Amino acid sequence: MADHRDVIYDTLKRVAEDEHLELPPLSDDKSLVDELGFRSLHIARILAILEIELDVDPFASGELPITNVRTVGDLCNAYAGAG
Amino acid sequence: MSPEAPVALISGGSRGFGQALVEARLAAGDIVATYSRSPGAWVERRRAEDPSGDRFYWEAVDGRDLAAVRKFAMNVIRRYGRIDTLVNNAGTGIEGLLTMTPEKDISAALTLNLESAIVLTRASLKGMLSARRGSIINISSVNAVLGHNGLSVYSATKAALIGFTKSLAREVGPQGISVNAIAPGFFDSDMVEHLSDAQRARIIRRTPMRRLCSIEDLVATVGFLISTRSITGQTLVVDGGFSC
Repeated sequence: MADHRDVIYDTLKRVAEDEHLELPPLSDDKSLVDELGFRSLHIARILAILEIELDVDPFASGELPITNVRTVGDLCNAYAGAG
Repeated sequence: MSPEAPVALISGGSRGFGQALVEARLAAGDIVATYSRSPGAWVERRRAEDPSGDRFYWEAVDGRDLAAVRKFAMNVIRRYGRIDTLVNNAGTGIEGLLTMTPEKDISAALTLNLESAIVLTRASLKGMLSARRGSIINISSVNAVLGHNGLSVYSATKAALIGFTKSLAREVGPQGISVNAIAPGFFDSDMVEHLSDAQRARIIRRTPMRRLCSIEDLVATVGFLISTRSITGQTLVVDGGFSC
């Protein structure tokens, strides 16, 4: 799901820029909160943009808790498994 | 259609106050999306005037069908690219002594007046968060702040909307989204048609402004809340002072 990964990486960069966060180089093992500095409302916005872009919300049913998503790779895997 | 025209989603816009809101937002230059269970003559006429849905979009949605409500909001985001304004207007009246109200009627009122509004807001917020702007207006009622015989369930749903308004305003304000409510009192509409002349006169006598509010008063209040970026988490009671 390379397309999903590209959209997710672009979205993380877009939201970071809007929120004036200085991101380190992105990689799948980076923690969204502890290393990238996103806060809960930022993550809500990231998920909103991704739902519009990718036409899927992997967390809507509640079967996949958003609290399980800690890293960029976790986020990519959630969308890769939801298509 | 201007590509920059604001997009307003108004639930329950086929008649009464909802229809007046739709007309006002269209007159203001917005693109308006609305739903109701059935279209009615006014919606049919609007659709005939705008068959491609450039400025007016309607779908048949039963507000109790939460999946359909969510899908409608996502359809609007996909069709127009965003939602700038959401007015949670759809609702149902429920009246009767609590002990004599069937539980299924209580459940239906909670679903339509409260849960449906929350689900519609949740979905619409996807577009607002993406754009980092938006205005949400919940239509509550003066019965949320004043007790009234026979309206305990209705009052509960409308008071819950005020709590929803306050907490959500805190939550999404940092992303440029305002959340407010209006609480109409008695206003001149089919809602008060069943009142006798004596009842109507008594309400007007108890109202400091000595008149029933009109639908235009309510529409103007919604327009004001849409226009300002400095008010959020508030409930404006529009009742001519009846509740003060």
